[in-house]
Amino acid sequence: MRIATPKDLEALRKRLVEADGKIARKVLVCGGTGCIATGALDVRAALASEAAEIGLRIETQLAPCLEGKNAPTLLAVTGCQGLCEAGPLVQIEPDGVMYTRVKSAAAKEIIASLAKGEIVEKLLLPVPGEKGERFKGRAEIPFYKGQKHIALEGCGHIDPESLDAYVAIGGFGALAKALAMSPSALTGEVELSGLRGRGGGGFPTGRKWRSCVEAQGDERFVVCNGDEGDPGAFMDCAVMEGDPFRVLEGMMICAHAIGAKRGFIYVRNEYPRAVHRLGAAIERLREAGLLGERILGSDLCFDVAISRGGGAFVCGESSALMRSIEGNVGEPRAKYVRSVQRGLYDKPTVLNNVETFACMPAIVRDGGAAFKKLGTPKSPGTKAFCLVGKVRNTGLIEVPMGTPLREVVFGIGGGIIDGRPFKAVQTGGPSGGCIPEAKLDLPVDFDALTAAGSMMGSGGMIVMDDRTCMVDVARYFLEFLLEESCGKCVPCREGIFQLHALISKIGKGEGKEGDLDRIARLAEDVRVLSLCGLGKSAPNPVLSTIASFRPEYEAHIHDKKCPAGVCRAITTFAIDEGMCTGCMACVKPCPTEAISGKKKKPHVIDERKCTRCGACRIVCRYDAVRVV
Amino acid sequence: MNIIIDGQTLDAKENETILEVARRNGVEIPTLCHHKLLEGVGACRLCVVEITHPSWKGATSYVTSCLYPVAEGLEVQTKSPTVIRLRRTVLGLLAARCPDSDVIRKLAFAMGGVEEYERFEDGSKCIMCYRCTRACAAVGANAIDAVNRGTLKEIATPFHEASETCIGCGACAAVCPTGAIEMEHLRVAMLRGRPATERPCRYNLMGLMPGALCPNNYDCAICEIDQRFVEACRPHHPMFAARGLLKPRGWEE
Repeated sequence: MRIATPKDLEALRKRLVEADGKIARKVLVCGGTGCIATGALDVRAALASEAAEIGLRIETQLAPCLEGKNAPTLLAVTGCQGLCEAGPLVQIEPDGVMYTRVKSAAAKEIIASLAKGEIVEKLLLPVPGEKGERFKGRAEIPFYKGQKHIALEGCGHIDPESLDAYVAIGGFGALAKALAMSPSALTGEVELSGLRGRGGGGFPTGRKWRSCVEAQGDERFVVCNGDEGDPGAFMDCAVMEGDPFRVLEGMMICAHAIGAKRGFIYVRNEYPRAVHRLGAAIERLREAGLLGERILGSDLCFDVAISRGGGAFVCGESSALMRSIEGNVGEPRAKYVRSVQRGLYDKPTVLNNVETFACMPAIVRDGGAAFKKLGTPKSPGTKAFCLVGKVRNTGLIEVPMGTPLREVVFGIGGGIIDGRPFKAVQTGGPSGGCIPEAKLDLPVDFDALTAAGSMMGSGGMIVMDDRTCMVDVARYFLEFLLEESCGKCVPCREGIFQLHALISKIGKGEGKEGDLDRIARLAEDVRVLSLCGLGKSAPNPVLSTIASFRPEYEAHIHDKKCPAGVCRAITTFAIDEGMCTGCMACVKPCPTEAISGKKKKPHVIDERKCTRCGACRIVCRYDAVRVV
Repeated sequence: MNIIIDGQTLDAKENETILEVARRNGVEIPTLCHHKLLEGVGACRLCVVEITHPSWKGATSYVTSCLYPVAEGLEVQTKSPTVIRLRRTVLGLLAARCPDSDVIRKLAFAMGGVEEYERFEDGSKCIMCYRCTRACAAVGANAIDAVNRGTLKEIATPFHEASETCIGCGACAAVCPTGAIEMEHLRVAMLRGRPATERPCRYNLMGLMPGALCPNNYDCAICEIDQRFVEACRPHHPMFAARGLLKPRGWEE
């Protein structure tokens, strides 16, 4: 059906809301990458076949729910529901029940419980530390408390492949509202919201749009940056997969504001599901007349094309991304002339991140002032983060700006795995830095993180425990950047190589007196000299770890010891006789049979056979394997 | 408009770069990747300068003078201690990459010595300045470009195979600042005068036309093959004006 006018849209929405009202229950299976990997699609198939067995009426689309006598159950695969750690997740709405670690075998019980109106207790998430206790509903789970979803509003709640589902929750209402506004007033609303670019730079979005409008040019472009490449980050992936229509609506709003006719979404090809869902969504919108000529009866003519990235991290940099869309080698250029003036094909271009566009419908719908009320004065709104690493609740979250890091790691994240001591949290990906315990009460916003020597970045948060070596962390990120530097400018190409060489030597115990000063000097020059953001921020992981963990570096250099027991060349493991209970647990995982000992007698590690893999230390429940 | 370089007030035109104004007025700024006939890329970063503007309230920035467009009232420092330190870092990094390059060694010496970094031993003199690729694009051949990323980046023909579009003009070698690209002049001189069956064509030597022999005793300008070169280049192209070499017959005007 074509949606040609705002009236058509409203009529459709009303009909879909009515259909939604007829649904008895919704069974929402998480279709995030993590849950699919652990078998969510099998769970969905099992649920469907079990329902068919007992004759429960199942619908997968909204529209058919209007018809028929008995109330249907809607079965849908949604985008990421957040708590990846406990997947596959299944939510039952409107009861607010969340089942965790659901296996196909549990489908029978779930379907039976639906028919009886009961809850399958054993599939609920256990309360940590309290035996037998389980969280009754999603709202009670600490992971979801304190979160506020704007960009992730629809992600995890609706079928991302269904336009009807998006329209039913108010989709494209914001576009209709925006089209009734003048482009300048619309940009004014975005300026009022105070939204800052969610890709990491934090440039005010409204100001960017305004300067693009003011730039000279016969054509303008909207570009959405979905080239998420930071290790440990998957927010944009989740939004593109879980709510593609929202991203497209954001781009259409932008197109109206700046007067663009064409838009591009640059998605990395390693996100096949995102590419597929966005492609399907674009096709669906074209059929419905929401992309193309005279959208919703207005003057807006706009279409979007997907540009698939080949996997270069540097193509997330705006000028390299534009070169790549043009079909050239993805290398950045000097941005003394900004891309809002001369961007894609040398035309004025607005490039925003996926999450930035995903915030747009909510900003237009509720007004810029409502958005501005959230978060901190200088960083309004919410931010999505990916909580990964040594944290209990790995997953996707969105919190108001200004939420203290401690709340994110220990409240939402549930603290460190196995109750080990917290060491640092790495934010901002390879361009960011490590934040130590002392700065954990820092409010998460653009300026506070930058002041702490890290940066917001796109939103990856890697939590580290005491068994993480900061020299090794710095080396890891430098290695990543060494491979991903485009190699165009000397300081980035050669400077990162030399920094990596210096850090690697320290990790091997070959560090010398004065190395830290040399690293600091070179790092500073690389930061100043580099052509683009990749090189300019490349020294951050090194500088921030040296600033906060200098004694650890010094232990590597002076004592030739890795206190965390990670750098193999200078680590020796030994078993503490007083702690060892002789449980034999460490004997089996040792790949080189270096551990010997009798039952209930302290074990011994043969240093000559030991490869320092640390497998014994991971399995030991008595903390008897020590770094000496 | 006026800009201030090292305390001197100098006249500048709209769209000029800092480097152009400096060079016109005899202010020396070292460069490697810059070539006045080629579009700037800002790859080597050697021409870094410190800039500030009255409206910046004392804030300074370090930019590449070959790309930065002038603005009224811009103040430029080309020899501040930080600028010299940054240039030394660039040269130190390049000296480690290309230990065999005399050009880099001399520049480093002129800068008062550089910090030692871990050296590369592959003996290449290429500093990845993109002069050759830009020259190749400027003459319209587009036979070479940078391939790979990071330290593995190198200048090559597509897939490292013999190029079908190389016209053998030598523009790449002519603009190379470190002598990393060489033409086959010497070898041709040795072969000249040999029997026709032992005279491989220049393009054969370059790996472009395997097996081809030279019927003209290396008088390439009368050769049919070299007409590709005439067709592909406009005679008044700046590349030829700059070089003053390689002018095929009939272009003497």
